[in-house]
Amino acid sequence: MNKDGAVEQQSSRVKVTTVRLRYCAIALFFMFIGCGGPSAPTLSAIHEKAIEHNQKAAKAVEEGSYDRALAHYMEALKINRSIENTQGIAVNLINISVIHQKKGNLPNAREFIDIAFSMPDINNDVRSDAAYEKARIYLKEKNITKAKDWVSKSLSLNKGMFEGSRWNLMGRINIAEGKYDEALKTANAALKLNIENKQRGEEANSLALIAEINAKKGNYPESKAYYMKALEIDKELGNSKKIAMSLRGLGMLSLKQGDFPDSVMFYMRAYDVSSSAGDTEGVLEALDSLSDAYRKSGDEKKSDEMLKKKAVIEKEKKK
Amino acid sequence: MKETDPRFASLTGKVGLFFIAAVIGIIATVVFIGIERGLFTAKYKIYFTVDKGTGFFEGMPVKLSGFKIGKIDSLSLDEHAKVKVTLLISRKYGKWIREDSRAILTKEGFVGETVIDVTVGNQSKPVLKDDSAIKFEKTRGLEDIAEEVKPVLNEIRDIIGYVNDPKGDIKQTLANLKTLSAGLNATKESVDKLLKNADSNISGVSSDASKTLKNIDKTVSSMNEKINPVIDKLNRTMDNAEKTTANLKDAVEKAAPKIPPLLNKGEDTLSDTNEVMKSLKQTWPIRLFIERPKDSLIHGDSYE
Repeated sequence: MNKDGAVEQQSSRVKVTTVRLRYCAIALFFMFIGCGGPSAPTLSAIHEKAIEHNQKAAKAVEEGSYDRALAHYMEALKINRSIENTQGIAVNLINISVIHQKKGNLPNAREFIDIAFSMPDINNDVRSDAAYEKARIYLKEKNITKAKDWVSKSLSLNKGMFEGSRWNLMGRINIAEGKYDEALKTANAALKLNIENKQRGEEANSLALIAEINAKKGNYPESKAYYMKALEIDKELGNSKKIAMSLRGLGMLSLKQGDFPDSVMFYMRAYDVSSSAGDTEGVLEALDSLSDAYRKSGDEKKSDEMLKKKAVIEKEKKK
Repeated sequence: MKETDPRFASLTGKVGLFFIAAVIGIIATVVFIGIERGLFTAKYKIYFTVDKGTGFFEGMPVKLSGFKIGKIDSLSLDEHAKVKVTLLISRKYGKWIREDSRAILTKEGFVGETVIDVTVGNQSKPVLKDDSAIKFEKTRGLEDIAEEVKPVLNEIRDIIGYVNDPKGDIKQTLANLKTLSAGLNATKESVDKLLKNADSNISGVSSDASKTLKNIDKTVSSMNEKINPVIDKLNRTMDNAEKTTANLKDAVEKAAPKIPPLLNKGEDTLSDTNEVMKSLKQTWPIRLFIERPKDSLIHGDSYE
């Protein structure tokens, strides 16, 4: 074979390879389009409707519209009952209980959570959450013994992603019992778990809890450092209620140390955050704290002014 | 160099053919889009004047009986500082637009596209000529609709209040559900006991079979005793639930006729959009990135 022939044969081979590659690419393309796999199993239309109500309710909770959330959860509950979706019924009952707690309606909250917990055939995950909610209600009612029992029950039913929140609650119970050392130990364990499970909101709660315990023990610099860390996470999450709580905590620390201007400054910030977020409870607490700070600094006039403002808001709230 | 491979013979010709086919394809597409957009149809202009140009824009579709017949060609201020809106209409639909026809700014559905709706004129009246004025009619704004919807919303608020009433039927039903759950638990415990009894009896079956039978009879009769009240409770709950549903139905029926038809229309549009979104969500690979919806818990805050 001469040199020209060999070159010709090689060029022809290259062309054949190119054509084959193109065919392969086209085949691969169609395979890619077709290999979507079977579609995921779909939920029944009525079940989807219930979930849709749940999602709308969750959004309403985020926006602070608890009445709207309640209406959606009630509707979802009705749908879930119509299809005997036990898990869905339990989840709705728990969610309704949480909303009632947020609204400060504890008897209603307890009624719903009791039904949820007594439901047969619900998984431990949900049952554990119901027990935790029961504990929260008991703590709000200042029934420490029962609150402790129910947190323990919740922990025995299921640990998992939310274990840290259970220990946080236990820490708060320890504080209520006056067992600060135990509370500190519990809060530190909760902090570790919340970091591990990437529960940022609960991580901030652990930090605030540690700050609170340190404040109770008189360790003000440590307390301040923890409140600052909690505040940083609260800001990152955009949780106005918690930002205001941390700011009030910082104000309380300054007040305890006799730094009245600093205390007023923190309380003012808390007031501003709460009023901008439409959090009436937060506003009332900030005004109360401000009045206290002004009184302790000797400014009775301003202190009374804050109390008057508080009375006006309370009157409006009752309307 | 001469091409010897038969597969590449007349390659230039094939490439040329492919190129020509592509060019023809492009031209056909352009022509098709042109026809679709009515670029090649004869048109004429009519206009109307309004105090404010808010809500109008150039290119806004003009429809007659829901059918697109043209668009807004231009918006301009006349010598009285009023807005002159010129419509470009396909000549073939001109026969329907008469002197008594009216142009109405409206929305297709509650959340649909804003269009100009031209009404069909009386056939005895003369056809509107090129560059002549058509009467414009203002439709109700969202504020007017909102005013109309207000009483309905108030009633809905009342219904929610009714649902939340601690002494209302819904709360009563829930209380019954609670009792029912307790009953079910008792039944479950009985069944557990029955199973345990059965286990122990089976192990001793060789010694005393008749004793086991007696035991089972006893357990079954006790189970019947326990199940009957549960069924009673269930029936009562069902009665209550039916009563609640009937009450709710009445309330809704009272409120329903007051809801403006516009809202229904909007619901249709939303439902169509939902369907499209649903189909899209089911399509691969989009569905891989969408989490399957589930009944999700809102976790109570431990520091609240």
